[in-house]
Amino acid sequence: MALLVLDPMSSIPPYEQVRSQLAAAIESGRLGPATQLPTVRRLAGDLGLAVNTVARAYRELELAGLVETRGRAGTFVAGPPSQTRQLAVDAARTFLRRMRELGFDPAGAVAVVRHEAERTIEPGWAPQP
Amino acid sequence: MIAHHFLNYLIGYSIGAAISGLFMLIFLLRRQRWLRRADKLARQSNIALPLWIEYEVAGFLRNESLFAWFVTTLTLPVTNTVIVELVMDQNWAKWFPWTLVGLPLYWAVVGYVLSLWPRWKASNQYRVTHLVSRSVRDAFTPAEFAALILGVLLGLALGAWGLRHVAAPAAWWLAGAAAFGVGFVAWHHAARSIMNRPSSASDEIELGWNDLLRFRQVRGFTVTVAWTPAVMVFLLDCMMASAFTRKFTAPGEVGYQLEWWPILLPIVTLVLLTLVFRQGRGLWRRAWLDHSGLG
Repeated sequence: MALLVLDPMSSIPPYEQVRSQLAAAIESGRLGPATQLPTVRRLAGDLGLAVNTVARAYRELELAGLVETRGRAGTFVAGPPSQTRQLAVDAARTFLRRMRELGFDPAGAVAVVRHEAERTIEPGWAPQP
Repeated sequence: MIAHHFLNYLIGYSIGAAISGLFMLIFLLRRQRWLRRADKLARQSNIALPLWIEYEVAGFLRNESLFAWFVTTLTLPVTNTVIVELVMDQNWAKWFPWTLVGLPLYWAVVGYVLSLWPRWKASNQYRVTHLVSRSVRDAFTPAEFAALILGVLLGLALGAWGLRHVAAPAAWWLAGAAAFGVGFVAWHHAARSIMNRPSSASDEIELGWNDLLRFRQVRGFTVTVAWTPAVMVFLLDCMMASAFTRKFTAPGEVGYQLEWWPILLPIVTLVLLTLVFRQGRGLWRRAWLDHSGLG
């Protein structure tokens, strides 16, 4: 059932609860491509969260290529990933497997990537679609 | 003279409001009645009504009726003044176009105001909501949509008949058409606003009730906006054409006989609308199931 449940007592931050449940629903096919998601304001109102919290979850889903924002029309579930994005996903999975072998948890692995990206980022490096 | 007329009107209105208020109070205090209504709504809509939610639903229905009474009492002087002035003045050419132009927006506003209270409150801190948004269109079947369009077209046609009857200038015809356009835009914004109003639910059953009551509000509001102007314009047309009474002459006397068809026709329309709009009562659930992949 395509529902989103927010547990206020959970140790997982609210934005992560929203992001992970949406991601799971999209990846399992419960939310098909081009399905319109609720507006950030509406979802924030439903869940009793700040607008910025839901906006952050949507932003991360957009960066992961799972949803796309079509201006004023709203946010929609993205279609199948492009070949480039699929290669990026495969590279990320390989990286995460290696980090796990090294004893990192996902948050630790992401922190390493973020730190390295900020330290070594090359000028003019634009994100791929 | 005007002050005397106003005072009489005020006293009459106050007595009417006090009597209806008394009846409303008696009506409100009968808790079992609201519980029975909640139970009936649950059965009709095929939704669970656990004991812990029963009082919440009954309270919602009671507050909805209370607010409808309150708004009606507040707006009654306006509608009453218009009708009384129309009947007393008999200056249809002056009053009818203004009434026609005001009706669509008036009912869009009143209908929306009626949906503003009460709101559902979640029973605890947990929150559940849908992952997809729904449109106003999800709240009606194709036959119901056709009935809504028919109501608007009928309102336009009856309005045109009235304008022709009072030989209104071309500007009023344009204003009448524009008024229906403005009424449509107001309805569309209001209906979307009701559909997108945040829900407040702690579990699936509460979310189901949220959806059921939301769909009920949108449907009731839309039917009001589509059909009430048509019915009111029909009654005004009948008044203008003196259709409520029939003059008869007997040897030595001239009398008037009450005509029932102008009164019965709106009642028949109401019954037909109730029958047509029964079919979409379960749409809130279908929208739920469709999006969850179970439908």
